[in-house]
Amino acid sequence: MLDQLQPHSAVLQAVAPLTADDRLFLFLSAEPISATPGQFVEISIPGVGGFPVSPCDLVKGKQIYSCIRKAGRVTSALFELEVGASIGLRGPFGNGFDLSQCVNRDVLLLAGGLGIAPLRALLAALLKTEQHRQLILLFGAKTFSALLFRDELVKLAKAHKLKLLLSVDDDEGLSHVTTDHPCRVGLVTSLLDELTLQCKMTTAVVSGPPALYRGALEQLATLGLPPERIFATLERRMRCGIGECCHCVTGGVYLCQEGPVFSLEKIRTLEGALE
Amino acid sequence: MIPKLLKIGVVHFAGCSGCQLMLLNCEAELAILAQRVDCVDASMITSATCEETPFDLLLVEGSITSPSEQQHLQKLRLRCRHLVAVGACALTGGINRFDAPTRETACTHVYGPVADQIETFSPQPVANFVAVDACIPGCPPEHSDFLDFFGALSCGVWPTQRDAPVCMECRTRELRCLLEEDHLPCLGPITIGGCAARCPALGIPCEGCRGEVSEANRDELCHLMAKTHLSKSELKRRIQRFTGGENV
Amino acid sequence: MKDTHLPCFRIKPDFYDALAHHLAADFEFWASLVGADGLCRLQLVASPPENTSSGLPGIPFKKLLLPPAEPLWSWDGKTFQSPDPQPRRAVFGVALCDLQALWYLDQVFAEDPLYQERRQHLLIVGGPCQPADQCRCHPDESPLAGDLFQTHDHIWSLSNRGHAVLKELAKWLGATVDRPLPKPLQVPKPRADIREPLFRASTGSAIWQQSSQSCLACGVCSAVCPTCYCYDMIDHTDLDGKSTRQRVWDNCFFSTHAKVAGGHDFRPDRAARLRFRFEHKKFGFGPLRGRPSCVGCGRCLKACPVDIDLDQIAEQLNAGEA
Repeated sequence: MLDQLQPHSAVLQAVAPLTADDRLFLFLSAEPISATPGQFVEISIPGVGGFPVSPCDLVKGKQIYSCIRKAGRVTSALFELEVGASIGLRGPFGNGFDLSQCVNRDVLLLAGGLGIAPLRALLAALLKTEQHRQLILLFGAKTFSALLFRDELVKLAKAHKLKLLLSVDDDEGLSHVTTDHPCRVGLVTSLLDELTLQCKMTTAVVSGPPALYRGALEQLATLGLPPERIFATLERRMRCGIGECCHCVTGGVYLCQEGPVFSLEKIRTLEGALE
Repeated sequence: MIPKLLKIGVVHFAGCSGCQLMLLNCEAELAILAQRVDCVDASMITSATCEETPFDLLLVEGSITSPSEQQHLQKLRLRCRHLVAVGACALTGGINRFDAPTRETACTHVYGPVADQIETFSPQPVANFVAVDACIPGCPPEHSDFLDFFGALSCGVWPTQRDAPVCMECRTRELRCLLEEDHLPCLGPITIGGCAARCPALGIPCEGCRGEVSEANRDELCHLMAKTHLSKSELKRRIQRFTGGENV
Repeated sequence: MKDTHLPCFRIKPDFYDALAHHLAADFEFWASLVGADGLCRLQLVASPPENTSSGLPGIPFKKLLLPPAEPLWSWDGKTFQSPDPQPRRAVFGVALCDLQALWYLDQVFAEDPLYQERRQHLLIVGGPCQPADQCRCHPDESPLAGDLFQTHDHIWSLSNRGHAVLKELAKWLGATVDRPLPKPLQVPKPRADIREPLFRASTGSAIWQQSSQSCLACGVCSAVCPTCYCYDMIDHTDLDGKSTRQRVWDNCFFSTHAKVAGGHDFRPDRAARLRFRFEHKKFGFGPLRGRPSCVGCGRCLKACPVDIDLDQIAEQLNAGEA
């Protein structure tokens, strides 16, 4: 754990465009940092502000990969920075995914849009240990080009590491794409129709905007998955990361500390968690 | 993070020039500011003018009151990379706009029989005619507004937009509540802070010069201000003074 | 503090002069004073007052631990730097409710380096209070924090630090006996508490909308509350290129409190925000869940321009009226 309030220096080491608004950033921390999938760090641009983000790959030593969308004032400023720029880094914060829930179980990952980022880190952790049974990823985005990391996911699917089902909300342009992997037009949750799950032996993890997890969690429960093994990472305004500033509190719980990953069983007890 | 020398200009429309004066009054910081910016056109700051060269940044003070001002503003917009509306007049029309209901009478009173030959219109905010990239609120803005602005600019961003009201700053300064204790028509609860409750600290109720917070509860404030000696229409005019809105 | 007996000493004449002399080398003195405008403020004073029952300061002494705007760090373009060390302060005449609030903040900020540094630099001396109309304290409620507690003829030791101070002043102390702290003479009305299941069941109640309709979102309730601690973080850069991140007092009624980049607001209206504030004050958040954070000081009740009264809401819910 780095200092709670004062960031450590880090450098923006590389940037790669993913879509018009999303880029993959590599930060090099001055200090080694260990973050498990699902945890988050705060990126600070001194003089501008900070924002929380989940690493989108395993954190190795001092390297942190994050997939960041230009969504506000601070992320916009980040997009303007040049490689080599100094930034600040705090964290990691939060609980992260409980990998032990995946051991000897089928793992169903359900990602919407940018929600793929923390699940990509989880995917990397699962593939590293190989203690799960079947691994399924349902991944939906607004458009085909917003299916982030599609190429590498398809590659994993072709290598039989992963069962991959894709969807887009909007089929605009889809017909022009020569695709090496099927992609349905519709909501990502509609892909559940294509699966025959061994519900009692499955752990599900949902990551995406509130509009996704609001419906998807109960839908999975209806299919027969036990609520204690349906997980979601909840979005909130995370500011301090250390259970003080109160912005993220939901149902009396500091999401930045006890969360952001919760089981549906717990979520049902948190008032307003799905709003 | 410090960018190259920025070419800036300050242009003045209908207003008192108090905003520009406030910038000049940042005396302790002017020397260092002069190393950051090259002020190429500003009536109170330099005798130089630049008719054609482009601005990196143009600060616009005052409201727009005539077709010729409107055209001038629109031409300026084409010459500047970023345009910043400075002060209440530029942001909402300011107190100039207070003429609105009695405009014709006022024109006749001032210009006499030639009133109908004067081409003016009710004072308008700058944003009604051109795209505005950033705002510096206040009548006039605080020194800290200008310093934060140029500080943020050196980091490549506009300053954080605040939405916390004057009341919060007034309380943290432990000032006497003029609304509650003295039944004065203070607009602190619905006015964006950033002034450190300058007026209430002097015993003067907030006039609302920094503009309204995003979810201003005007109805309730009017209800509260019923305890003051002001009539309903006076209260309405008071709330409208700096916001220029007709929808009170 | 019900029936909790604490070490108490009778004090000899000139004790307070000796205390002031003893502390003067290391500490600034702070005490509550009523100004010409009638407002009571906790402020820097030349010497510790002997009579400390001047009433509650409008802004509680959390302002010394969590200032309204406090630098968290600064950045000179190369490294992050910690803020300057804080002065040592001895605060006199802190009422029981504020000592309870101090205990509460101590728990919330147990791991916060800046709070802890300020806290270590504070010597807190409690004192008797005069309950006002809006007081709703539970003087028997434990726990509380602080170092000493003084009356005109006795002084209590509340902590190891307080004990160490008294040890140095043994000459001015008389007999010791363990006894409870003196309680306020009359508390008009105790704080109204409510059971959590009842609160949970009231999600759809119209009371939240009704009671919050008049809220101006002025922020005053949290500014005056001794256990409101939510903060935002704002960066400033000066013209020399030095950037500073400040933590500033926030308020859960402000439009930005639960809004994320992209625009989604997790508490989009005043009703949701009032419910959030009520929940915090009546049940606490996180590890402190289950214990009211409200100490019943009555400040919010006095300060709210539109008289929003959390206790009244609790009473209505308890009575099944909402």
